[in-house]
Amino acid sequence: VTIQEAGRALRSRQVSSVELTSRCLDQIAKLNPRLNAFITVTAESALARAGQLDRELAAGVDRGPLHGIPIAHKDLIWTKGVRTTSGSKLFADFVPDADAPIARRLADAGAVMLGKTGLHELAYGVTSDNPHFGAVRNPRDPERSPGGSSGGSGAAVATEMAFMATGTDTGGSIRIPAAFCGVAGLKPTYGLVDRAGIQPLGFSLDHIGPIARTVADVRTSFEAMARGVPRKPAPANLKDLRIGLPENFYFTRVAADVCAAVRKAAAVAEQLGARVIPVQVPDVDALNAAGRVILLAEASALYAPYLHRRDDFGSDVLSLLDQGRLVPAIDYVNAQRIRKMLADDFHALFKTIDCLFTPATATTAPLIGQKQVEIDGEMQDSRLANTRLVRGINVLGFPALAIPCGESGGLPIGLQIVGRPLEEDLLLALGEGLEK
Amino acid sequence: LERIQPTVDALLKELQQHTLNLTGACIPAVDYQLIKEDGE
Repeated sequence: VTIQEAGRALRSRQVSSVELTSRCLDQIAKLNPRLNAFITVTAESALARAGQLDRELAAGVDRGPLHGIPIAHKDLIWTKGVRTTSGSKLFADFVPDADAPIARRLADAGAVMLGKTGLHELAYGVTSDNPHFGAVRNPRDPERSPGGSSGGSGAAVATEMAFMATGTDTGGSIRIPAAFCGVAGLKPTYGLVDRAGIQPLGFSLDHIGPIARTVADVRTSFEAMARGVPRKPAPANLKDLRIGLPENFYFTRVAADVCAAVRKAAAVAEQLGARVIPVQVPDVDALNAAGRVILLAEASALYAPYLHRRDDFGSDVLSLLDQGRLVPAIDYVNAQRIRKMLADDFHALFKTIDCLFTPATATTAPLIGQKQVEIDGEMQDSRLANTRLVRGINVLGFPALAIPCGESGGLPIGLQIVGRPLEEDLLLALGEGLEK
Repeated sequence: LERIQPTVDALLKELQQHTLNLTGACIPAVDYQLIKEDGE
């Protein structure tokens, strides 16, 4: 059931928000012991809120498409009176005294919060194998990772525990779980969704966006989340839309079945009237190197006051925070300079195309604990392999949509569609066209 | 330190391969932020 379908059923009184919320809570009770998608479930307050929204609707007060729809928040988004752990021992008992503006905005739009979803510790990793709260598991195969850092949000949405869940994305943390769990996720333009009241990681790389089962549901959620900044409207139709298909970087060191699925999606887009144009992308290796240096430095600057509490960190996160302390200021500044130079190069590329099609991840979901993945007979670091196609887009700040585009061995494959800043509506229109 | 220094050195070496051609016109992205953060 989609948000649109649930909304129609709510307005025709075929279902109530209390019933929708109860169904989600039942699904959480049934599946969460196995998948560990939620850290905290707020059943009582969710049902009370749903009842209130049902009464509003009966009285003719309609807050819009999210009215009465059960959702979840990644557990680094401040929620008033509800524990917000950031997946960390540092904040295991932290109860905010205010909502993050984005949580408030979604509540005002009528969404019902079911609880808080699990994540990689401090959102600093892509497995969601959390040493303090346990590993989140992939709904398609619980021995596999759901991706991260917003792994709980991806797993919750994929299994209908929630209609939508919020995510954050500093180096792929919305798009990777979307790809591994077979759902849709949008990383909007940098700054378009308010970051206040959300635990930061990389100050100049953090983005917030929705994860949902369909692109239309992503759109509905995004509309409620985004600031009222003018965006470029979607084109009237997809005819003559120029899709760039990279000849370099994005289809090398990527599993053959993933490449094939993305190329097939491009062929489908062509059938919808779009034009697929082979392009050479600027130096994404440089973009990724800059992104990794910037994130190491920014995250370590943020957590420097906590680093004496070494036992309170998992080993992978502690290692990254220690690494960040070894980055000289010169290299951080030069990484920012590379960023500017490559952003200019990408803006030039996007004068010749309207969007870019790439795989979201190099492989399908790896096993939990798997450190290396084999691609074309070559062993690669799992974390680097599955962030190298998405990280650079955080460095650019451009919007990117991840949607399912196929399967391999029963596991979903994700397509990434990248657009110009403030052109989310084009990505969503194209995503909806492909989804149909 | 023995374990992580080589990892950082490898990353910085990779970065520095790309910084050789930076000109004076390549300034850090002080104008990067597209939208003022009104909630912060």
